Formats: sequence, C-alpha cells, structure tokens
Amino acid sequence: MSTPATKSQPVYPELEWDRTGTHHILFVAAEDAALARRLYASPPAGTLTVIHVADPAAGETAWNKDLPPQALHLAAPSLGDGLKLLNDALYVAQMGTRIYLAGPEDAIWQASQMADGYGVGRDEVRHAQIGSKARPVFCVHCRTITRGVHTNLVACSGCDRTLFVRDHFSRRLGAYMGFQIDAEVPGDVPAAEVIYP
Amino acid sequence: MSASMQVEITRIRDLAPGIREFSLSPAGEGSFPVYSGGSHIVLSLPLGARPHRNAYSLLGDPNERHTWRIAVRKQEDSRGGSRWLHEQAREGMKLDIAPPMNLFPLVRTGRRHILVAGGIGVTPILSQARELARIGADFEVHYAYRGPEFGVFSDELEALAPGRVHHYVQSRREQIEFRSLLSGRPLGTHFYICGPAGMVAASMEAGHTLGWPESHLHSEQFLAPAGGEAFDVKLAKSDKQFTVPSELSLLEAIEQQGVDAPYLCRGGACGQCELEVLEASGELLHHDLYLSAAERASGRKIMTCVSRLKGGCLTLNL
Amino acid sequence: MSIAFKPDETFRGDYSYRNSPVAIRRFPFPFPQDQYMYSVNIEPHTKGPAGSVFENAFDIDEHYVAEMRDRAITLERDPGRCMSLPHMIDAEWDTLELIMESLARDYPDLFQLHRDGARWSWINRPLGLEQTFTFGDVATLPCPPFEYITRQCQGDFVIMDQRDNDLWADSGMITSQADWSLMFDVGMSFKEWHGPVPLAHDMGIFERALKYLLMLQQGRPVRRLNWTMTINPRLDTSPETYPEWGPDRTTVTPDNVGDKVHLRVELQGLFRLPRSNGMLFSIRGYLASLNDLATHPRWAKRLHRVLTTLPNELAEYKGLVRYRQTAIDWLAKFDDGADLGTGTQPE
Repeated sequence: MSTPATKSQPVYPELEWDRTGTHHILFVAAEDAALARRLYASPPAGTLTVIHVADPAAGETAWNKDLPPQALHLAAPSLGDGLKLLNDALYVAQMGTRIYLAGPEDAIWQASQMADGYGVGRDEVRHAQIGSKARPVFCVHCRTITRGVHTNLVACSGCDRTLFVRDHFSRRLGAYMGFQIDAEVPGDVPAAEVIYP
Repeated sequence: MSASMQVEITRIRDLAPGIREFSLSPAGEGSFPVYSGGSHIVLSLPLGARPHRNAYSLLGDPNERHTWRIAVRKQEDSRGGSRWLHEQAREGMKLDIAPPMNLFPLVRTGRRHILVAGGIGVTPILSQARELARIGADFEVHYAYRGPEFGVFSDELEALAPGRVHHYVQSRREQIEFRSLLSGRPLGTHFYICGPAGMVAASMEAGHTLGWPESHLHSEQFLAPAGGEAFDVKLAKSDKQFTVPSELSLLEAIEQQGVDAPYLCRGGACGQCELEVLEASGELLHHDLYLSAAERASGRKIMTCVSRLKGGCLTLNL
Repeated sequence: MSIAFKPDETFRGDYSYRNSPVAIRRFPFPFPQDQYMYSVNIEPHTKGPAGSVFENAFDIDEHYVAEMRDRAITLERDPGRCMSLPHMIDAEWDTLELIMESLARDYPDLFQLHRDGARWSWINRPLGLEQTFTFGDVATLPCPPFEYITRQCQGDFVIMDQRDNDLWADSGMITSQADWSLMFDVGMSFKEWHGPVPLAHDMGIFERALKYLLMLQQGRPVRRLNWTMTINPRLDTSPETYPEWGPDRTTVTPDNVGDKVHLRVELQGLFRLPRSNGMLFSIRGYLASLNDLATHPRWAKRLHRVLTTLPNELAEYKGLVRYRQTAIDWLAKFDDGADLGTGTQPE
C-alpha cells in the first residue's frame, strides 16, 4: 500500500479484527469472498453483529454463510436499509464496541458519518474499500454530491459543470472534491479516463 | 521560558489534616485570564537559593478573574514544595507563577462524561465539573477519599451536579469498582481520572479490559520530581560540567548553573523539556509519562524534569 | 494613530484597490533568501516596530473598511463561507473576546470596549457600529459571536479544537483565501486540512508544526508568513468561485503583468484560546502588485530570483504556471545580480 500524495486521501490497511474490542459491528456493502473467509475464520471474542447490504436475489454469499457461531446476521436489501440497521445498532451499542465498515467508499463513508454522530473516535472505526472503486464527488461550486464516479472528469449531477476529481477527501462530507476543469479556459476539457473502476 | 506573573496569597484555609487551600490574586493591578477546565499553574516557591517549581491544578471557577484557588496536600516525602506551602507560606506573601496550561482538557465532542477524583486529585475534576455544568453537558462525578473528614470538596461538587456525585469513603471500606463503573456505557462516553497512581492504573486496566479505546480514557498524574542518586552531567553547547545532587532534579540542577533549559509542566507530562542525549555512561532512568517505548529504547532523549541517570555521566546537547 | 481609510476601493469588478506608498513600505515581504522552500518558520507574535504589520495582534490598515464590505458581499452571495461546528461555541466567545480586547487596546481611537461584568458595550467607529450585549448569551448579538467579530476584523480566521493530540479545523470565516474551501475542509484534522500541500508533508513540516502548536501557551501567540500570487487585487479567490477568477490567469501579458500580478502574503497568527483550550488561526492577507514591489528594487530582485528557482510542484500548487515566465521576464530588468544578503527589508 503506497502512501498517497494528498494526506487527506484515506488509506485502507488490510481489514483485521481489533481484538482489544469487546463488541463488534461489521457493516458490509460489497462482496469479497476472500475477506469474508479470512475474517470469519478467526472471529474476535465478544458479540458480533454483521449488517450485510445485498440484493436479496443474490442468495447465499460469503458474508452470510459460515458465520462465526456468535454472529448475528442482519440482511439489508439496500444501502438505505443497511444504514438504518447500523443506526439501530449504534444506538444501543456500548463503549468497547469496534465498528468495521467494508464496501465502496460511498457506502462506508456514509456509515462512518453515522458513527461520528454517536461521538465515536477514530480508533473505534476501521474502513475497508472493497467492491467498486467509484468515488463520491462533492461539487465545490453547487455543493451536490455526484455518486459512483469512475472517471477523473465527471459532469456534476447538480450544475452540469465538468468537474476534475481531486484526491482531497472530506470525511465529514464522505466525498472527494471536484472543481470545474475548464474554469481558466472555458471549453478546454481533455478526454475523461476511467481510473476508479 | 514561560512568561511569569506575580500573585499574592490572599487566603489560606485548612480544609482537613494535611490539606490546605490557597487563594491567589494578581499582585497589583489587573485581573487573571480565564482558563479551561483541567488547567494547572506552576508555582515558583522561594526555597532558599535554588528554583523550586511545583504544578497545581486550578480548582475554582474558570471564569473567576480575581481569585484563583489551589489545594495542596502535604507530602511526607516532599523535597520541600508542599512542606513549604504548609509550614512557611503566609497570607500576603507574593509568588511567581506560570500562566495556566491544560494537559487534562475535556473533549468537547464527547456525549457523556464520567469524572473520577481520588483524594487531592479532585482539584482538576472540580474545574472540569464546573465547565461541564456551565455548558449543560451530561456528566457524573465519582469522588473517593480516605475518611469522611477528607471529602473536603463534597459540597462544591454537589452544588455543581446535584444527585450526580457519588462518594467512596475508604475508611468505610467503600471503593470504586471500575469494572462496573465503566461497563455498559453508551458510545461517545469519555472517562477522566485524577488520583493516586494505583487508582489511575486500576481504572485504565478496567477500561482496557472492557475494550475502551485510548481516545476516551483520560488521566492526569503529576509526578513529583524523583530524587535519587547523584550523577554527573556535561552540557556540550554551554560547556559546563557539574554534579546533580540527590535532592535536585536534572532540570533544577541545570537551572542552578544559570543555563536556560526548556520546560513547562515540570511533571513529566508535557514533553517540552526534552533534551538530546549525546552520551550516557550509565542507565537512563525515565520517569516521565511522555516518551514512547521506542524513544526510551533509543537512549537519545531525556525529559529533564523527572528523569535521571543511574551512576556515571550524562552528556546533553544543550 | 489615525488611518486614512479608502472606503470606496473594490476587490472585484473594476478592482480599484491601490496601496499607498506607506502601505507598500510596510508590506510583509516574505523572502529573506533568493530561494524559497518550506520551513517551520514560526516565531513569537510579539509587538513589532511601530507602523509595521507586526505592531499589533491584529493589524488594521487603510483597506479595512473596503475589505469588510467585500467580506459582506461574499457572505451575502454564499453564507457557507462562515461555518462553526456546535461544540465550538466557547471558542467563538473566546475569539470575540480576544479580538475585541486587542482592537480596543491597540486602536483606542477606532474601537472601544466597555465591560461591566457580563454586560459588554462595543463601539466600532470605522464601520459605524455600536452593540451592547451579554457575554455568553448568543441571543444578544445579531449573529453568532464568531461571525459577529470576524465581520469586523481584517483577515480570514479558523478556530481549531484540540483533542486526541491533534488540531481540528472546526470553525472558519473564510472569504479571502488562497484557493481552499471551508465548506469542504471544515472538521478536518491538521494533516488532512493541509493534505493538498505538496512536498511539506514528506519534509515533516506539519508533523513538527503540530507538535509545537499542541503546546502553545496562553498569552504567547506565534506567527509565520506564507505567500502565493493572485491575478488582480481579488480577495475572494476560493474554489467555489474559481470559474469567476480562473480565466484572469490567462490574461497576463508583458504589458499588464506589473499591474495585474500581485504577490499575496499571509501573516498567520496562532493564539491559544483560554476558556475552550482551542486555537485561533488568523490569516491576514496583504496584496501588492509587481509595480508596487518594484518601487523597492531590492524586493523586485529578490522576487525575480525566488520565482526563477521555485520548484515546479510549488508553482503548480500555487497556480502560477500560466504566468510565471511572464512575471520572471518582467522582473528581470530590475535584477542586476547583486548579492542581496539575507533579510526581507525593502532597501
């Protein structure tokens, strides 16, 4: 894992259980069979709640089979439902809880904002980027967040300006900064490249 | 190093055997700045020719600009600071102090706060409780002391947090059970403790066992500068060589040589007095709460306010 | 002291902002050497020579009234330029107290503060404001305390909350920034907030600066200078309004470079706040055109050398790339190659 040039850009170390915790909430919003197998093979001590965002049609996946015996698995058909379940879990959670958020950045940083609202410190939450590498992009001009951005340039869903996607990241907004690429010379827009597959 | 201000001792009250409260006011014109809950000041005490500076928490109302209060417990093994305050200090005397500094601040993003005071460790807890009461925060106080006569700030705490102060009197065999105190607390709770080393260690152990993260566990302990065996010191840049006697700290001995060394808390907590060790022909005795294990192991750094060398000679880059 | 304000000058539209010779002479020229590189250039913010920008805690100059009007215009267009997270209210009052006390002490003919317990009366003569209010009671001011006082003090402001051995940018009044967005950055840690700055992280600059600032003491503020360049004397060079001012970068020609290109220097102050244990970060900006600077040939020579040797990453980050060479070519005629020694003095 290389260190990003822009220090606000999140780095995602390999997800591990924090065994100093006594309760664990795992929120997953993408499939990653290898990660699921690895985590489930050596679960931490204490309670474990798995909130699993997945299309019900997907049936059995690595996140809902071979669960550790103590795990409570909660299925959510959509990200919105998953965030509601997470909110319920945080509401009753107690000190000693560790929170693991795994999925595309859009999902895990929305979940992270929810944990922030409960006064959770950074040493209580771990993030893992799995599934799509698409970025949520905050338009600094009109303040709309455009989600699922795979390219370095994107049309803002709010104001239609062509935004350049920077590496500068706001945890509070859960998004990368986008600014108008052709502000200096209007119309001077290079071809977009897919860099966040 | 620190800009000093002069204060006058305006009132001395004996609160309990061995515990005295001092009220301080600005000497001459002017008023005090406000401060944040958990702050301390450093008093310069006139013990003969050598500098003697002790840190004491401010226990009054942080918004009170005319009188600051501190409470001092007489330490039997004191090298003179608390003994001087108990035996020599008189109302009307003037002292130099360094302005308030906070190494034990409240976390303002916290959603609930548990304050724990052991004995004279109640002093910073008092100003923290005042601040939490003022901003309307959700908090509770647990106050432990040796016997009924030592619960000297019970009334003040009750007034700040009616019904939310819990007392533990050691002579009645009452003790804080940290495991149960810290169990089942909602997310966003912060824990603060000031008290004897054993009590602080017990609370931290309970917190860790229950899975509390470091960012929610806050403690303050001021270490009295440990005396110890004498050792020799060379200051490379100032070109001085001298012996640190057993009753002086390394920092005090450097100051006695007229060399300006950095410092702030003088209690091993803040990290300001760090000096580079060029050579040490003996074992470094790190007594501070600041250096990491790796920094200690490197043998390249020492906190002069509390740490020493066992035997031999210490060469510092100063 | 009396200051001849220029209430009608503008920082947008016709850009009628101009520096008087006195303002040019006191300009905080930031280059003591022929090459620029980052350093932890922090020094005590102690009272400097009379008339200098370091004389007072918060410098008020001839542009005060016009700058405050420009701030009001920016806030009217975008109220999001002033933000404060809920746990910062004590730090807001700290800031109001620090600025009111400093201005009333340092400019008694312009600002007056009368305190009767919590009952405070504030008079701001240049802006024609009078306000009686109860300290600590937000309802007695026309807007929250941080916004109230920073609408009346030159420079941008950030308040940092100190927790977890870090400083968090949790409040800000940002209307004259060097291309960074408060709306985006509010709530960030010290290193995240400075995330886009090239090179300095790897040099350990922010690591050392943070360690130093965490121990900053009450009553012992510190300062440093930072700089960039701006086309036209524009205060609002925010990312939000980049489409408005970005095109100006393409308009620099050998004929107008002296007028259009401005050196923009930030006098940054850091003050420990007493009741919140937070930290006020003041970012007081000064603008001087190349023509202004060339009235002191030593500065023109120095700037020529600094721009010539500036690493490309920094030129890119500061947005100078399109016009750097034009500025260097224009400045070259002042530079006879003489040894300037060290120091920022104009002569």
